[in-house]
Amino acid sequence: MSKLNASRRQFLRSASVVSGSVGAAGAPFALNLATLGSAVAQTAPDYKAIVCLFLYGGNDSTHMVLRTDAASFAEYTRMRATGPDPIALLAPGTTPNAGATRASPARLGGVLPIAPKFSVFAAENAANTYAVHPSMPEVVNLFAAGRLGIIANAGPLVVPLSRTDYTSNSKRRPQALGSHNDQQSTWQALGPEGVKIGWGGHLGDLVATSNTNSTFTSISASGNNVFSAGGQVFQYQVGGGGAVQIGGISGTLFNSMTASTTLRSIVTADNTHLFAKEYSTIINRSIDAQAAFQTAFAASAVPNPTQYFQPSSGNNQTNGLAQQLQTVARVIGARTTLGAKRQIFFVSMGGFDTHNSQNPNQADLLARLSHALGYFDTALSTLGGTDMRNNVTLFTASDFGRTITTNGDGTDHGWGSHHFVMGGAVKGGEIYGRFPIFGLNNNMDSANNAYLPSTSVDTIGSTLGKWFGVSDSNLDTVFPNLVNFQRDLGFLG
Amino acid sequence: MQDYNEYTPNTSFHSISAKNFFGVTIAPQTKPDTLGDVKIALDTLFNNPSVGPFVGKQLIQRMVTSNPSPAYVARVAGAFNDNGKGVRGDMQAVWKAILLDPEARNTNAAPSYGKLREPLLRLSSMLRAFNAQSISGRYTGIGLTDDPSTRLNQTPMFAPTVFNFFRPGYVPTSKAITDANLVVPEMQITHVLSVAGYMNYIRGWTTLDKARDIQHKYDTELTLAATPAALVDRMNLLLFSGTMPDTLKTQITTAVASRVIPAPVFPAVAAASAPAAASAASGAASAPVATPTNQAAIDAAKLDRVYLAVFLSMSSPDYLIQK
Repeated sequence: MSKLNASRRQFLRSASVVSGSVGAAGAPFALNLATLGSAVAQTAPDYKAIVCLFLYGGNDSTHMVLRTDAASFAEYTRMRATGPDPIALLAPGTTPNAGATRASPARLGGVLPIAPKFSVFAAENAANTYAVHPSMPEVVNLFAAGRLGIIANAGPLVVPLSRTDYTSNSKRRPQALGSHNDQQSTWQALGPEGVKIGWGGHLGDLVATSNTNSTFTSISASGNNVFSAGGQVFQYQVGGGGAVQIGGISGTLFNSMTASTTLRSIVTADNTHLFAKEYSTIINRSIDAQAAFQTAFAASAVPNPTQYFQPSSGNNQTNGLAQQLQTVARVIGARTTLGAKRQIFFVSMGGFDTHNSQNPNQADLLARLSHALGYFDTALSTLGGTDMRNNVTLFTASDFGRTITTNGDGTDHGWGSHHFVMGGAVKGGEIYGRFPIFGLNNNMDSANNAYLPSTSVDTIGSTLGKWFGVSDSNLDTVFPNLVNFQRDLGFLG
Repeated sequence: MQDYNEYTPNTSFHSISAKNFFGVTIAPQTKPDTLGDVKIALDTLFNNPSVGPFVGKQLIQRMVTSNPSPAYVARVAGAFNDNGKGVRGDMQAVWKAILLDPEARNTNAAPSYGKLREPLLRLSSMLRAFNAQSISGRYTGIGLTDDPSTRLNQTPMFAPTVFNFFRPGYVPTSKAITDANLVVPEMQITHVLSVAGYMNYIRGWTTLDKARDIQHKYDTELTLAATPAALVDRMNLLLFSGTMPDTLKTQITTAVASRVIPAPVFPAVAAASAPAAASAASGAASAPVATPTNQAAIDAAKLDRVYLAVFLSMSSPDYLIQK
């Protein structure tokens, strides 16, 4: 594509949604220490982190993980190899055509086979063969090494739903399906935009007492987001340089010590206006945490990520997602100094709203994602001399999956989507949950040109929360609809 | 600048079946009429009664206050619905209704009135207040200002999503604001990094820099440097529209005065002529005016005073909340 990040839809890159609130009525703060203790591995240091990697815009995960047996792939090809710019990827083993348009399926070559073990979760998935997008070689390696698992067709649900249930409108379903901001909020906080506490922050509330400084419980390397917002814990934002010190609030300001004192006083003072009061509250929080955080962060070194190969340009480019994960790794490396034993992290990348020009755009995005996952795995393997991979579990999330069919050169808003879970504690090399049959009219799997999720977001969160050491009763509070679903998908512990 | 793709009809993907939409029915077609259907769709949306209140409220939020009264929104929606001459969607009438409304014009002491200035509008308010001009005429050099740690967490024309920089219904992490059922959209891009990044970035802009293409001037302000109270009054005029609280005035005035302007020192040889310089100022035109040997230190001190007045003003929550 010769044009820069083109249409307004394409430049959806990091929507942030409503976040943060105080005073969730009755939010439980009691930590079940007994549960926490028993969940901690014997040999590893008592530290665990959950990392949410959000793919803003709605990832077409049909192109991220595919079934490749002849019947499945023929149907996939039939439905997607059509229109002005066919998006269908090519069969495993197809040699890349160096003369084809950059980032086109022909130029990328065939999808990359993976070999699920089917030992933990066989179910009905085992009769088929699988592959990932040709831009994701690191994912292939992580899957083979058993540190990355695939969650098939996950999404927000209220109760399990079949096509019949959906078309007859006989069962409850999440509000505002297909709406970016609402489904981002629903993945992150189990309700449409306006919900103020995310399940990441809520889990953080439940474990914050195990940290010396609760400020460093829920950390975002990607700005405000509702996933990280707790009822008690605030989301603490960090950048590539860590925390930021405000210049001039100590020492001298424009050659006056008095003025420096005045500056600090002006920006930190309480205010009768509610917005000004909140602004100064944030400044106080920023100042109070900065020194302690920065001392620990600065001492925690993690090698910089390399550039990733961008299929659409043929060049190597800076990987902003890998840089966010570097920041996360540095914070994890600083855990002892920060007094942190349980942490929730949030990172994100945007641009997944591929209504058009999906071939170049998604190839670039998935290449960046795969490269960043490989980088993070390596960074954690020798973090300050310690292998921390068993202590950190990363999962992907996204607004929704996309339509089953192509719209000509892209895909539109869907519902269920495939995701990754990664870490040393993950029982990788497996596909968890029922993988949908490709096509429009399968009662278990599809309706309205979208996949009906077979695994609920609640189940993913609950599985992570249990590993984190949160009790069953507390998990029922964090995930009110969990009672309707499988509690543990089995990808951890 | 970001490029864009022009939307073009793709008739091979356009349905010819009957279409029902907000109470409007498009009859089945023998061949697809993409643009005709789009026109009906846009006209139908434009004429929906929710458009006036929806657009009106968001424009009020951008221009005046985050939480307008329903009556204010209704007045603006009324202007959208009918400009007085039976025309719907006359945006001149809408802007007039927004900016001339009593709720916009009158002083309002409620602790919920007003809005948080977007970061970009803070920089633009400084550049406008102090007569910034582009040396090259091309207004270059500001570049991307996205980085919350070092810049503004906002770049014009580069909203991260189709939902713009922040959502109209955003409620920040504040019990008082939540309890009062208020929204503060601009708080969505405000957090522990951005508040520090903004202060450091605007402190950089406070100082004059000949290397910049866009340069502002403190000509008038420098003439007030010796009189801190007058200098702060000017900040009140230019940056606060006259709303600077008295406490803040006192704080900034004292801080400005704390940067002492050295007394002029005249060359030893010309010491005797110093009184002559004074009389020259009062009209004795024939005597030469001596330049103090410490003129550079005096100028630096005066500049520091202006910097202090500007930076302390623009850091204060009373400036950041536009009332």
